[in-house]
Amino acid sequence: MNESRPPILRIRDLHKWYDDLHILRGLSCDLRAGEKVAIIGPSGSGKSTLLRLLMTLESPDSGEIEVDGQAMWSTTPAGRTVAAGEDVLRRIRAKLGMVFQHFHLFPHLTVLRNITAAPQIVKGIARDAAERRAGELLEMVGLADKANAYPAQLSGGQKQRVAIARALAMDPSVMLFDEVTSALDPELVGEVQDVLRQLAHQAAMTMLIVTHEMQFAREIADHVMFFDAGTIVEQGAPEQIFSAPKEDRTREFLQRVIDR
Amino acid sequence: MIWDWEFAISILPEILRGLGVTLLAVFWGMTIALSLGLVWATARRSTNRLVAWPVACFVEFVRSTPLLVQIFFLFYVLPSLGLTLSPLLAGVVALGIHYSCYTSEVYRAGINAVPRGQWEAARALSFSRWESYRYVILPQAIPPIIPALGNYVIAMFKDAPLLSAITVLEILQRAKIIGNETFRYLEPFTVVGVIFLILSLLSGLLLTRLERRLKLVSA
Repeated sequence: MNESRPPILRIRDLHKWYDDLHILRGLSCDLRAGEKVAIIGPSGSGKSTLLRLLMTLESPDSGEIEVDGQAMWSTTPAGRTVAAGEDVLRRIRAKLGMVFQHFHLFPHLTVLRNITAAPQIVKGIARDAAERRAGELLEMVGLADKANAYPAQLSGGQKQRVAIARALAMDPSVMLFDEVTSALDPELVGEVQDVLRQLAHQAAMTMLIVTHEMQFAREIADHVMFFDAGTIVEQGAPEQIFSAPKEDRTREFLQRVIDR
Repeated sequence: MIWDWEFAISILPEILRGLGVTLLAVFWGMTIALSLGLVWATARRSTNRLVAWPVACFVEFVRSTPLLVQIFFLFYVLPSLGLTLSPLLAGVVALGIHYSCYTSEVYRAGINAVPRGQWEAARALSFSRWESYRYVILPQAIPPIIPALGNYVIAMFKDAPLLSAITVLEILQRAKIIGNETFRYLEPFTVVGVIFLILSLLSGLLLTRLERRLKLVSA
């Protein structure tokens, strides 16, 4: 990996409050293009909040975020935290794709339309080109036969695979996965993880995966971040984090979740 | 006073002409109410308080004052401000604006019922706010509220005779004129009442069936 290239995500001293709850407490990290990063940690540690801030679903109270060298949030000389203009945010957002814990498919559209809507409407791609691409993506997630089904007719695992295809249809360079298997019945987790594994083979794709499945994190990630209380307590290669954690808090957390 | 069938039938064409005017007023009034209501509803959800606040105040103001006062205002006061509207136009605009403030609340309820995750998914796919409304939120928000909007069509239909107060030759006004000319009021007003009864019942029935179909579709 070329170390001299600017990081695709650059996050500095990010703070976020939910009323009285200080959910992110000065979080900083860099992600290089193509990295597959798993974020683990107890609930309430700020993992999902980080993804939501990246997707501009929420705003930070202070800190800086750069995506591919473009400032999304920056600090003025006077110390105020300001967002980039809406047109810049829109360009940045187009580089990011997000998959949610609860899928959020559009229930009034067929599977095919769920996938083609954004490329057609936002990017202005012609219908047949969008449908061809959607067909390939459905093939990839193993749901080519469900193109004309409605979300309500699908199982949870199928819904989540459609949601992944929908996000990929916008050709993002960074994919954000927010606990994408947490809402699934245990027997459906595997089919979604298989799609993520397949995606991880694409060298250019940067993946940020918030997960509670430690075995899966260890296997898919080339970098693991352990979050606790709004900061990164420890990060490193999966082998190191899972086999020889340096921090007590990491060790305690891993013991708790693996002894389950 | 004894009911005179022959007289009742003889005035029917004139009263039906009035009904035509009433239905025309309701059609255009409702067209205004349905479009403006949607504008108010989305404006009130705007993150820009300079947009949301004035609209919220306007909606509350209109809902808190009588329709007849608003009709009089548009017809008698606006000319002194340099804007003269024909009776029918003033009436249609008044009906439309008045009811837009009610339909806006219905739209708001429908929009609020769409889960927040739908907004987030749309945003994550780079939809603008307008595109989110157009392609994601409204297609889910509107079908469930069609029966509630339909009820306002019936309500507006029943309020339309207020336009007689500004000389619109709608159904009630024509009945009144017939009464004034013939000194028989029983038949004209009874015919008008029966027409309202029939049309309201019919549209109510239609709405119930529509509601049932919408439930079937969403189930």
